[in-house]
Amino acid sequence: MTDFPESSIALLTVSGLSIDLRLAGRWVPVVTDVSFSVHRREAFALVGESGCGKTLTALAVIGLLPSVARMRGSVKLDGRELTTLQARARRKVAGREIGFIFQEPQSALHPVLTIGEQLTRPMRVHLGLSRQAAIKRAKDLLEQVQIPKGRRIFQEYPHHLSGGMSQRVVIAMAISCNPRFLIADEPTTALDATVQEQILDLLLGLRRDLGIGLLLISHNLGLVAQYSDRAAVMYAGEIVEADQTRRLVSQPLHPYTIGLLRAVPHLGQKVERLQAIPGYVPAVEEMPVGCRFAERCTVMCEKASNHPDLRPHADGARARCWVPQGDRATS
Amino acid sequence: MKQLLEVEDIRKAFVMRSFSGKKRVQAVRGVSFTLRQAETLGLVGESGCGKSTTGRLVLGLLRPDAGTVIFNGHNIHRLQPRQLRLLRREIAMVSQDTTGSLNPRMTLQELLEEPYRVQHLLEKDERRQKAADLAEEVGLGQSALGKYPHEFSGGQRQRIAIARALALKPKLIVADEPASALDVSVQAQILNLMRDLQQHNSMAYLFISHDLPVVEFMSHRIAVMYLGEIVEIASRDQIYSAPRHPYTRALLDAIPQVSSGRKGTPLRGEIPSPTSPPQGCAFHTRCPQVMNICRRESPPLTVFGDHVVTCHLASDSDSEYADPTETSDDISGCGEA
Amino acid sequence: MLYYLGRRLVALLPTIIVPMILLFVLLRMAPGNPAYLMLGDEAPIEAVEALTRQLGLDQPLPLQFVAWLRQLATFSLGDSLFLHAPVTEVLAKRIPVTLELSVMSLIISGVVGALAGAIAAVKHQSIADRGLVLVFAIGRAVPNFWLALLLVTILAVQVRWFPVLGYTPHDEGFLPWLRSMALPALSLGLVQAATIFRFTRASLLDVMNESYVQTARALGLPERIVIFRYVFRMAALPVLTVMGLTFAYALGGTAVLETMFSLPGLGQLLLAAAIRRDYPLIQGAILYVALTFVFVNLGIDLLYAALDPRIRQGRADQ
Repeated sequence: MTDFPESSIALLTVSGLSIDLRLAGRWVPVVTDVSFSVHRREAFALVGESGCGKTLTALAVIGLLPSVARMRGSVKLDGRELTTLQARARRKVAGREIGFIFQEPQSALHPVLTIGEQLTRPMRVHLGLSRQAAIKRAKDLLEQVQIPKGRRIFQEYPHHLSGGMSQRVVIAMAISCNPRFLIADEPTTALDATVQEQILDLLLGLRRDLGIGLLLISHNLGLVAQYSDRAAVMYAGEIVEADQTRRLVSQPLHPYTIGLLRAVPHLGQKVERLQAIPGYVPAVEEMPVGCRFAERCTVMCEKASNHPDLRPHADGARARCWVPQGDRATS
Repeated sequence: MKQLLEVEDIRKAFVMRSFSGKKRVQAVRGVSFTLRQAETLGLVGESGCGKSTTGRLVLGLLRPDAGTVIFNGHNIHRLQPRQLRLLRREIAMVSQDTTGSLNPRMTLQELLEEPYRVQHLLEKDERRQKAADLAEEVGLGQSALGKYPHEFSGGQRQRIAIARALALKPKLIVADEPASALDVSVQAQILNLMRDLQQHNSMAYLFISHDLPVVEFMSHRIAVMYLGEIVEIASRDQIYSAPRHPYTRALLDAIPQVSSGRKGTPLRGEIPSPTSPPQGCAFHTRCPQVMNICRRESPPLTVFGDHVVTCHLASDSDSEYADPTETSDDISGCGEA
Repeated sequence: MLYYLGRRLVALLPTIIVPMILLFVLLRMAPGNPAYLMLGDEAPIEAVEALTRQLGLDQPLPLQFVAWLRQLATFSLGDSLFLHAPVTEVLAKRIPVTLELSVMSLIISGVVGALAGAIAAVKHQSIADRGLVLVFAIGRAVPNFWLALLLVTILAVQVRWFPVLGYTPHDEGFLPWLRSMALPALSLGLVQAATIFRFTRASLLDVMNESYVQTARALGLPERIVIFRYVFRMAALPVLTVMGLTFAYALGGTAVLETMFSLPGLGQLLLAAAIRRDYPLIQGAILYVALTFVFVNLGIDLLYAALDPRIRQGRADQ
């Protein structure tokens, strides 16, 4: 597994990405200096709780930031810089080169258009396929996402479909134009547990079969642990730790990562209390200048008023902390 | 020891009308369980299993089509209005949606005083004092009393909801996904708070959630629901270490865990629609161990001590073969976590 | 589907009957005896009383109502007291004019309101958007007859492009007819356009923020397709409802406008009949209005069901 951030073999390279939001007339930074890379056939996860900036980061990559947001930094797909593209070319990247899977499949599908129409439209636009050709290809796609053949889904409307089925359709739409990269933003949060497994297995299978890179966004560490190769933990708009997933969850460095791992109830745990992380995420307008996690951190630290950099550790791990925990800490 | 809550074979169906005619959604199809004082029963299941509807039936917000809900010896659906009002002091609710359940135009002070006002209890200054005490009890400072709900974070709003539920010192709190909308770190705070309060105030919880690890953490006993029925009830240790129903096992396997590796193959298929539940055992369309009898006959209730399963597989093995209409006197809950 | 229609038609009955009863009672409670009005101030009392008896106006109210219902059963609305002609005939002559006015104003309000609303929504927060919102806000505050006066003063008196008043029937030519209807239709239509504008803009803005629109963009679809295929389809539904309701109102006749422009329509008829206490005519006309309203509403519901499969088929149970 290659290391980050600057690697010429990487499929997607994000460097120094910062995003500001216009709130109450002022520009407020919500994502600060995020850098990571994802390789072909790799599943990379961005983990964090609500408000940490992971979704905005994903939107920045695909070029769908809302008009109240502005970004700086670089996003390269296969070496090609995306941020400097003209609006039309930028719009073309979405769908054609990067696919996006949203969180709530039911609301991601147009309520009044048939599945067939929604599924075939991107192919007709991007690949110039005729209606017949698109329908044929759509049928293949549906098979790929494991929608049972007997189901005459083309004429149906989204409200007929269950959550799992809708998400499969959304995935089919996302891969329909052969993108090189897939972003899945909390793809299973709205789904039942038993369906969740099916969908994630499907995504990983596609990654393998189609040879694409996958950026998985989630707040669920268990999910990330099972379904990603490398991961980065985000807090208050920054990456606070990044590593191979296996090591991230077994030997975490940053106190926030450690706190997250402890705060989630595990099956068979048998404890009286969960180790909660005290306090709350600082509001965007009141972001501390120094270490953003200091207020809630249980580790003794004297340098908290200085903002820590993302420093490298053993084996390519990175942590943004003055007092990283565990044996692997080398600073 | 008398049971605090006895729910016996409740059923509830909803009728949905549209242009294309009527559809009958069978939300709850015969649910029975008991709950002791200061005990937590976790009700866990996926969408369409009927757990929220069950919660509302227990609260008396819905009338069951059949079956009874007996709280402290009284059938709650046969009470006179006056008795019902008194009952509202004993059973409280905490729900997932705080934006909906907290009046955005009332300050924290007013929100905490409201339960007393509605029940015509206490004098004005006593209520004010109570409100301050409640805020303290759930970890909200005195300075917060003048704030409005939108000025609080999600976790804090949930604390407010819990404080309101506590106000009249209920014996039972029905919590429907109380922490599901919260971030992990905040969820832990709320769950800890709820457990502390339970010990402190000796309350029982009916804890409804789709999140099995959370339910396992909170509950003494767990009931697993599928498509309107309870498929398994047991102590939480038994559910985790020795589940007897294939659905329970599948649910446990489906939870991605940080520590463990990937388990077998995921469950196939999807949850059938509640408008047309499958014949025989509702789970047979997806069960990895389905037998012929499962497609034809509803499985009987099988009792293994305090572990109850509704499965044909279980009834084959050595067990006491229990009749579904028998009351669950011998299903005794474990005393503590 | 038939089941639904059947239920709606049955529900229709109280919607018609109750207003009719109310109307019946209120009419007769209002001061003024039509017989007296018909015969004039000088008439001797006996003549008035005789006429009253002849018209059946001295019967107790319930009996009068029943008599009227019996008449309805034979598809007759009775005769107008003052026009000495069957009510159905009178209505038949007046309704087409009002219908023409309503349709023309519907087209005007629809085109102007929806177009402006679409521009405002797509260029949200721009100067164009804010300007349009301001203009139409004023438009909503303006009564249609005031606008009519304005238009008449400028376009009919000053520049003489249109007649000041009067209705030119079709047989005298299409263009003359159009010119006679133009100002009334504009007065009615432009004011209605303000409401359509507001709804169109709001609906479009709502839909543009929806997740499925973002998905369409995430699929790289060009903005043109996103707006026209994805957004408009959804946003159209509430707008059509509003347009339908506005149309239904207009069908009831806009009394003031019609009187102003001397258009021989339903509104003008109703106004005149009300002043004269012409009971059968009033009842007949109101019955027509009520039926129209109910059926247009039913039509809108069916249109909605035709356009939105969720309504047609009922949602999934989750």
